[in-house]
Amino acid sequence: MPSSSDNSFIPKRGPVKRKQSGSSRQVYIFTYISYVLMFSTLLATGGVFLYGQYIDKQLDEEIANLNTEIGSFSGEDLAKVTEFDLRLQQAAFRLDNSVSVASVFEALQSATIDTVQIERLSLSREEDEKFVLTASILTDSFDSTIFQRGVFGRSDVISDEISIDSVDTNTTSNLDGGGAVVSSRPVVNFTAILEVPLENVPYTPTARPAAETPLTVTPPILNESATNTVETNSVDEESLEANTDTI
Amino acid sequence: MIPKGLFAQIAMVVVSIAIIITYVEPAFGEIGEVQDSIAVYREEREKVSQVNAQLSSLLQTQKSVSLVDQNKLLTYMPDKENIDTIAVPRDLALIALQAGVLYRSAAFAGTTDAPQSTTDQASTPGALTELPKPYNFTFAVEGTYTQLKNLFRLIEQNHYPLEVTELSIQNIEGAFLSVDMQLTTYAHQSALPANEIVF
Repeated sequence: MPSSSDNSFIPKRGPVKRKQSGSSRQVYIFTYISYVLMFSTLLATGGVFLYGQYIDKQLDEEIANLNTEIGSFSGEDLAKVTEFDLRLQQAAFRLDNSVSVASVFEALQSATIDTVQIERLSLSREEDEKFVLTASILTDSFDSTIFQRGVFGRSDVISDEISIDSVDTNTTSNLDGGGAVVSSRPVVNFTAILEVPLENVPYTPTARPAAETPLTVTPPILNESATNTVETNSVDEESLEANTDTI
Repeated sequence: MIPKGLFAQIAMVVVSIAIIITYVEPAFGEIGEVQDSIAVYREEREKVSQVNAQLSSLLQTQKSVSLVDQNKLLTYMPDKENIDTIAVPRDLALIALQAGVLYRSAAFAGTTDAPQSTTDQASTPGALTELPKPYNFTFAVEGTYTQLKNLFRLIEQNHYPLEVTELSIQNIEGAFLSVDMQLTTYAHQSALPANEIVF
């Protein structure tokens, strides 16, 4: 038989559970926060300490690596390379400014008319810019002088800045054996100052047949002039040796 | 009355904050500085490494130049002590002989100071800071016009520069011309005093 209490419509009441008050719940959150904060701080402190050690070690390694790299640098090698480079640059600089004086002569030759005679010529190189030519010239008339000035002006090599001054007239006389004047003709002499820019007369290397062909020394022929011949050949031998060095 | 547990919790929070302020935060700052230093050292190490690699490459390039070419360069642009003031007149005499002109004289005429690069030129990348030192020689010959042209052609072909800086030609007699000239050759001038490297 079931007991009367089992049939009761009144629900059974379990053991009384104490409800947590509002204030005790707030204390629990604060405790939680404080613990989390404390442990986080401790962890962060440990982490920062260890990371600091790691970073310091890394810095030491980087410094050591830098010192090793600096140590492997060779100042001697740098000096060697720098000197070589500078020597090359200086050689290239002179090569770039090497000019042909023979080309200046050829330009002057092609720009000189037939009725003109150059008595004296001086040439001066002004830095690496130009040649200044001063020519003392004789001609037969003023017309020739004017024509010559025009020809100089039209030259591709000679600069347009042509100065012709000290124009003077004289008379040249042809004398006979007794000193008497046979004939006389007027001459005009003047000084031409010409400028030739260096870039107009660059040196262009060409084949050097004369210089590169080996010289042959003929053995001396012993005859009456044996002494002279030997002397001549000895000079040739010297020149042969030197030529291989020089030309 | 404050419960004992709450006091301990407040103390923990205070201690935590104190630790953060007095140790963690400064330590973070120091770590940041060290990291910056590491970055700087690494950057500098890479630069030095690049310089070393470039130097090594240049050294290899220099070594790859044949001995013949190196000798030619040394002949063309010798050191100051290798300018022989007797050998050059001897070479000029031999050139005169080969050109067929009458050799009169050749002599060393002293040195001149190398022209200095201007400030603008020096600041231009690739510009020469030191120019080669000029050595002057006088040279006098006599000959015909054709012989003289041949002489100048031979002078141009010389293994080292012989630049005509002054020239005077005079008609002496017949087709013969008297020529006095000043020739200039050059010696390599070092940019730095010996064994001195400036970083």
